[in-house]
Amino acid sequence: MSIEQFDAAIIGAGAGGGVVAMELAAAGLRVVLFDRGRHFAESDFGHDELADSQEPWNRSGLRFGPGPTEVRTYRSDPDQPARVVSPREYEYSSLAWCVGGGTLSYQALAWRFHPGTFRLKSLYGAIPKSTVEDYPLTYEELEPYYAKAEYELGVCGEPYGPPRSKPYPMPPQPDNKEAETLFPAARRLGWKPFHPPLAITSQEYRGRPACIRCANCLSYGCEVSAKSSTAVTVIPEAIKTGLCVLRPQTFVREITVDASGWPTGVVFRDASGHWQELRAKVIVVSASATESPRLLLNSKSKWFPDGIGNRYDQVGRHVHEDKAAAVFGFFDKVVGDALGPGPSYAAEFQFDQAGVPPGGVMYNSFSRLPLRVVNTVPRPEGVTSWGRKFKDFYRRYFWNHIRLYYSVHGFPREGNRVDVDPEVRDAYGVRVSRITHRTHAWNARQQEWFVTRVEALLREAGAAFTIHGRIVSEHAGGIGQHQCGSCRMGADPKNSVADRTGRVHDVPNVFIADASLMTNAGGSNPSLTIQGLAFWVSEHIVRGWKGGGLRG
Amino acid sequence: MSEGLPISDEQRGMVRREFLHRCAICAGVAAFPSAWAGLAVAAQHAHGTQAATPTAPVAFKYLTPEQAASIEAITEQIIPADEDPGAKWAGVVHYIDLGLAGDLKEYRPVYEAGLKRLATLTREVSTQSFAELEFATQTKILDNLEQDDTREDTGASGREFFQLVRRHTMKASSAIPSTAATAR
Repeated sequence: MSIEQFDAAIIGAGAGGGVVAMELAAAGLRVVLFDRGRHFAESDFGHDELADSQEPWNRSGLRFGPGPTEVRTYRSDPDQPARVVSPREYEYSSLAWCVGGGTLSYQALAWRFHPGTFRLKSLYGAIPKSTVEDYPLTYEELEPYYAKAEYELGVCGEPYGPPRSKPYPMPPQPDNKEAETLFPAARRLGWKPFHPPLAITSQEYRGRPACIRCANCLSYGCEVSAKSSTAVTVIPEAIKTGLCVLRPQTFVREITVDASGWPTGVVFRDASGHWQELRAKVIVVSASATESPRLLLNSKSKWFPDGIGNRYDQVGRHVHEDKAAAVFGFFDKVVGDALGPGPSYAAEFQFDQAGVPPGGVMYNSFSRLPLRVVNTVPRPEGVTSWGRKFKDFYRRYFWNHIRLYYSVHGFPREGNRVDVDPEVRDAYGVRVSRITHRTHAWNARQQEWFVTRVEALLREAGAAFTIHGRIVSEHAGGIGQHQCGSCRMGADPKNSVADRTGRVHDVPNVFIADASLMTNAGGSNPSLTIQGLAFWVSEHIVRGWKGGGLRG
Repeated sequence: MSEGLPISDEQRGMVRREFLHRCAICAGVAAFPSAWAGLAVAAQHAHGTQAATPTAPVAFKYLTPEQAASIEAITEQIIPADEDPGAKWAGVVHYIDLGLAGDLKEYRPVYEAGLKRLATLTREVSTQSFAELEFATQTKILDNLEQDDTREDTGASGREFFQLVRRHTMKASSAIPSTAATAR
C-alpha cells in the first residue's frame, strides 16, 4: 500500500490546530488534521449534569475525553518519585481530547493579553526561581492577529485595556442579574467595569444563531453552535475548501525523519486501530502543552537522539499557567438568575497596581447548575457537609450567591516540566507525559491582593459574608486547562524551543501552534492568544511555503 | 467506568411530566423555584416510577430489603425532608440500587463493608436496625461513621463508605437530568 502524502500534517484539532488548518487550506495546501478524540455534533450535546459535562462528577468520565483508561504521571519536584494519575485527578492536568479541543466545552472567555505580558522580563527583571523571558514578539505585532481571531472565530464584547485596531464584531451579551448587582458596586468603588469578551454569539453571526442564554456553557458542548469553538468555525471552513481532511480518533505517536534528518511525516494509529505512516512536507504540532512535548520527545532518531526540538533540553520546560481562583459572596437577597452564558462583569488590574506584579482580571460566574453548586460552592464554618444545615444552606443561597473569579499571571517556575515518563506507557506502548509542577511563589502574592479587592466588591454589592479558598504558596498540584509555555517561543535556542514564527529551532519544517508556544501566561484565559498566535504562525508557514523553503 | 442507568420511554415521560408540573407549582410560590424542591424531582430519572405511583413498592435489583432500608435511611439523613422533599422522596436509594446492579458494580465491596460497619456501630447503641432508630439517634451514629477508619475484614472503612453514599446522594438528588441523557 502506498503511503499517503500531504503538504501539511497538523496534530491536534484544538484552539490552535483548527486555525492553522483553515489558514493553510485557504492558501492551497493539502492538509490532514489529526485529533486523538471524537468529532462531536450538536446532537451529541445535552444538559444532564451526570452525563453531558466535562466535570469530574460525570458518571461516565470526562465527556469530551481523555478516557478513563488514559494515564500520566505526576510529581511536585524533580527529586520526587512520580505517581500514576488518571484523568479524574487534578494532577493529570487534563484538557479535552476532541475536535475543537478545550474550545468545545470552555466558558469561551476571549481576552487579549495585556501588552506588558509580552515584556515580563524587561519589566520585572530576573524573577526569583523563575525562568521568565520576554516574548520574541510584541503586542503591537500580534494585535492584527488578535483582531483576525476575534472576527474569524466570532467574539462579542466591548473595548477594554489593550489597544485595538477594530471594534468587536459583536456587542456584549445582555446583562444578567449578577451584572445588575456588580456594575453599580464596582463603579462606586471607582473601578471601570466592562462586559467580558466572550467567544459566543450575541447576535446571528456567519450563519450561526445568537446564544440562547442557557446556563450550560462551561463544561458542555453548545447544542446551537453559538459557542465559537474551532469545531464549528475554522475547522468547517477548512474542510469546505476541499483541501483539508479531518482524522478524528487518530493518535499520532511520532514524527518521522529521513536518512538526512529531515522530518518527513508521522506515524499514527487510525480510528480502526491500525498503525500507519503518512508523509507531510510541513508538520504542525498543536496537541496541547502537555501532549505536544510528549510527541516531540517520543520522536527520537539518530539525528534527534533526545527528541525533535530538544537539542538544548528545552522541550517541556517552562510549563506554567495563569492562576484562577474564586471568591464567593453570600447575600440576603436574590442576586442570580438562570440566564447564561454566565460571565457578565469584568474588571482589569494589570501592571499599574502597586504591590501586585503584574496582576490580572476579575470576572463573575460560572454556571449556576445544582450539582455544580453543591460540589463547588464552599460552606461557612458550622455548616456541616450533610444534613439539615447543609440542605438549608444551599437552598437559602442557591440564588443568593455570586461567584467571582480572579485570574493572575503565572510564571515559569524552575524545575517545572512536562517530559515523558521513563517507565510508564499507555495502552499502545507509548511513553506517557510526566508532569513536574508547582506554582510560582508570586502567584500567592497576587492572589492575596486580589482576594481583598474581590471581597471589597462583594461587600459593596451587599454581600452579608464572603468565603474564599486557602491560598498556598508554591502549591504542589497539576497544571490546569490554561497550561502553556512547554515549547515556548524565544530568540535564544538555549532557552526556548521555537523561534518567533513558531518554527522549531534548527528544524525548518516543524512548527508549534498551541499554548505550548506561549512564552508567558497572561493574567487571563489563554484561548484567544493561542488563536492569535496560530494565525501568526500560519502566515509564516504560508510565506515559507510560497517561498519554496518548506517543500522538502 | 460508567454510571448509566436504564429507564424506559414510559418512565421518562412520567418523570418529565412530573418535573414540569413541580416547576410550575414552585414558580407559582416564588419568583424562582426553591432549589431542592425542583431538583429533588429531577433525580427521579434514576427510577422513574415513584412520581406516578408513590405508594407502589419498587423491587430492588441488587440490595436486600434490609440493606435498602439502611441506605435509604442514610440518604435521608444526608438530604432530610423538611418543607421540601428529601432523599427518600427523591428515591435516591433506587439510583444506588440500580447502579450497584449495573454500572456501579465496582462499588459493591465498599457498600458491603460499609453496611457491616454501620451495623456494628448501630449494635453499640441499640438492638434495633439502623433504619428503625429515631432520626436523632441515626444522626449520632452517622457522625461516628463519618469519622470511622476501622475496616471490617479488608473492606472499606466507615468513612470511605459514608463519603461514597454522600457522593451518590448528591448526584441523585441534585443533578439536572435530560431525556436525551437518560436515553443513552
